[in-house]
Amino acid sequence: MEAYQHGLAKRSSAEKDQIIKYILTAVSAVAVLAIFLIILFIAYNSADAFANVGILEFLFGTTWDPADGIYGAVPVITGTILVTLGAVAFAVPVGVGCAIYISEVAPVKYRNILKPVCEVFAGIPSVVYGFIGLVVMVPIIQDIFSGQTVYGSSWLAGSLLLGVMALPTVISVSEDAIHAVPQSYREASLAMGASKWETTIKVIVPAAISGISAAAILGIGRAIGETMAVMMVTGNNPVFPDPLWNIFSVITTITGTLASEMPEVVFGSVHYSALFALALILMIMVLFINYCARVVIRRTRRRFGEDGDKNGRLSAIIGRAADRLMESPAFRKMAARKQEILRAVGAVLLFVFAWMMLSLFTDGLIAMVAGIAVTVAVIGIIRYLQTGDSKTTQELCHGSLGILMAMVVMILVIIIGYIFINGIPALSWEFLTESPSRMGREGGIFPAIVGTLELMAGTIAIALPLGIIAGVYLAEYSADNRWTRIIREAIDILNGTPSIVFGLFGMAMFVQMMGWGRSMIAGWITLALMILPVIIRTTEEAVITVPHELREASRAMGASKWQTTVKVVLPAAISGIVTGSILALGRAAGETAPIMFTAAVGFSTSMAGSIFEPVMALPYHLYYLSMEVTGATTQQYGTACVLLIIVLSMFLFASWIRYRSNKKIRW
Amino acid sequence: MDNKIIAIIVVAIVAVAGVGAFFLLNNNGGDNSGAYAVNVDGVEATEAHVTDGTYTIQRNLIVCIKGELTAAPYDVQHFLNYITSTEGQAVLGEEFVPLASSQMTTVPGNPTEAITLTITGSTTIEPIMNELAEAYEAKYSGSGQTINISISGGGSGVGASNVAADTSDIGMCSRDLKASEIDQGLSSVQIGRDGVAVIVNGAGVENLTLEQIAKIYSGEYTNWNQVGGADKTIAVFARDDSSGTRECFDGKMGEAVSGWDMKTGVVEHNSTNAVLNAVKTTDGGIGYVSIGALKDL
Repeated sequence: MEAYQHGLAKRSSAEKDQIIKYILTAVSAVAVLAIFLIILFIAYNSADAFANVGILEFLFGTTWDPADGIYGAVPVITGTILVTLGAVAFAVPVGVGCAIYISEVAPVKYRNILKPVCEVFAGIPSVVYGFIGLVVMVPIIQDIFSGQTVYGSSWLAGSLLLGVMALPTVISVSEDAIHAVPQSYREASLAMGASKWETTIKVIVPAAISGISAAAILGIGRAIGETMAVMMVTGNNPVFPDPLWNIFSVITTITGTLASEMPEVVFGSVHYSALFALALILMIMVLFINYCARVVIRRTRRRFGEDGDKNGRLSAIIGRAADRLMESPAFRKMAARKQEILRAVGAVLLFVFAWMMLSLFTDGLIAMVAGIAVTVAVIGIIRYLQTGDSKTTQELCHGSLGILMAMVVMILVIIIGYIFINGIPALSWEFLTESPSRMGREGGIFPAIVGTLELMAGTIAIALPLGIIAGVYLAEYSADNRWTRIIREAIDILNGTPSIVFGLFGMAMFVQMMGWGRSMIAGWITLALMILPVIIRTTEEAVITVPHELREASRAMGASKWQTTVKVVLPAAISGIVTGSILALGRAAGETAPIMFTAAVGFSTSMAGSIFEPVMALPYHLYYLSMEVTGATTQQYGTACVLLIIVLSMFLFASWIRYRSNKKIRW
Repeated sequence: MDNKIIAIIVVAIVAVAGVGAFFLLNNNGGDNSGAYAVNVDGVEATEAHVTDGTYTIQRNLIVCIKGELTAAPYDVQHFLNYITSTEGQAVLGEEFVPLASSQMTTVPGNPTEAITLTITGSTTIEPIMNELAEAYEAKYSGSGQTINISISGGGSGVGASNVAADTSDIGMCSRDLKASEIDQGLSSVQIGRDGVAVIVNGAGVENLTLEQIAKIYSGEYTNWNQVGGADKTIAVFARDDSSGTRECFDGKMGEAVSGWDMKTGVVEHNSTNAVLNAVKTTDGGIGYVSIGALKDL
């Protein structure tokens, strides 16, 4: 009898586990469903443009002129690529330099400060960057390069701003890669008598090169999908720079075109559809870039013998092709003379680049001569550093990296300082608690603060349960089968999707098709989908890091798998989950692009009465004040300041939780 | 170099930069640029000149409804009658140019039916619509009828499509209705007017003819001395393709110079404020903005 009862209990708990597993699997499918719907809606809405304009004419047409009904995507795509390239040219050297400084040069106690400081960059809302770019950077560019551009708004401005925004990604990923190089590499190199700098540059960086490449690619992915900031500073004109490397030319990007043309367009028209087609192209570009990054990252992991290839067939093919290329005799022969070839290629590239840039300032021949001079000078300096006293070289290089790092910190100080210095005088009790009047020139921002809080509450209420369940499923229940791989793939794609694409999707599905209109609930779901992948990932990571012994102990006590997960594993992982969720939510709070078509209203004197009414929100209010309303400068800074305070305090709160739990928990 | 020294240098640079940035950035706001509005064909850009028609770069502010106004539901008619009345126009006049007094209607009496309206559309008109709705609610709240007006932005396209789909009663349009929208049964109601002022910075001219403006925007003139001004390169700013202001401006340019086309490579901003700021900060700049924005020049 007792044995029978025991058996029953065992079976029913196993059955229960099975049922729970099905439920978890079903919930995890929400990411797959979301990405499926996003692609479906974007593609469905773009069909009209391809049909009317013609696929080839659309993809290869060199004029984008909606007023005359001409839709050629080339100038817009070119602009996107050029602005992104410029951003990478800034962010990668600076970011990698900072990563080397943080990981290899800075004393330990500064390292622990510098890393989170760099992450603060990621916490500043895009619209705040755009605002700073518009009021500070554009006039500075106008002043310095008055001979090259009368506008200031330019490719250069867009690239610099995006470069700064991509910095946290580049720094944190490449720092991780450098940090992951086994300590034995350093020790071996130092033991051979190499200086610290020689070790860094000849051993550590080459060993971490795939991670650094991944950082660069992820940085590109971050820059290419950015909307508000880039729209506010590039001049938004679909022209080709003349010459093509004229970084002072005005330019436009896909995201900027979407955000500025979508509101006024006739719904269901060819123009409307053409904008969706641009979004589709953007989506494909981003997917491709993120795919490359993932392939590179997996190759890195394999190199250091971490978890094996879980990747799909395509990445295996790409990876194998790269391996085969590297192993081919021709490549080997080249590799033997790698140093010389690299040097030659580097010198030529440097010369071409210097020549192109200098030709913007003076005419051809002088630029060419000056280009040669610059190239020779740079080569000379490198030679000097390589052949000179290694102690001096190390001091010079470490010093330069320190200055680089200081400049990056300075940019952050300027951005935050500028907003606070100008914004704090605008803050008053009335400003925080009253409704706006006269288009926001007078009165306060109370409805916008409440609206932002409401948006955040709804977003987290939707995203958190779904995200935790999916994360737990992936960490605890999933087998390595095709279905799991599809879910993971969907989460990756969702994670890389630009925020404006979420906005267009939300508009097409919730606002238009479901007929909800611009409403709080449309904003909730759109934002929830946007932060879902982050929550899933952080949950999964937090759960995986819970040591296996805890689970085994719990199971040994007779607890079912589900009981173990809920009562043992989740509590142990909770701080990681909370940290990740707060960071994600902070990001959602500062986003403008997803809500500008779905939930936000620029001006409202009262709160939303139901979830089917639109709300005011701080980021959109700031955008609205700085774009539509004249003579509301004080209110602009005040709004930016409140937004920054909310987002940064969430960020600090998350860091504090992480810091505490790091201190407390010792497995 | 010792790590400590590097750390000290870093801290020092950050501190100096921080203090420098403080002083550098703190004195912002002292916008004493030389931006001003030029006379067009000898006529100053003022509300009075828009009203009497002598200032020619002007457009109608419209809202769109399903079908003709006379056949519209009671609440739509009542609210729109209020807007075009002398009282409504007084509110509208704070941001835009009111209708000519001959076009104004008499202030309607208390509503006899419930007023339940959903209004969506142009973000340019949205704020003034909010003020109008507020004034309307204040005036008629004692009538005993329920008054519930909800207003949200989204852009002219959103407004028109919502009205066509019957999810909104009134659409706010900052541009004229397109043929395809009229085909869906929409019609427009004029609620006011707006003048488009041409603003310049440090140009050294007080007056420009329409033809001169057109040739500046088509790229024929590139220096202010070609139109009798200072020897400065002209920096041309425009509104984005889809804006009503641009539509109006381009239309006028086309009338002044046949076959006119905007030159390539001008900076296009998608808002009044962005153009205003761009001209303010650009020596030799030219741009065009709604006349209501001139007070912030």
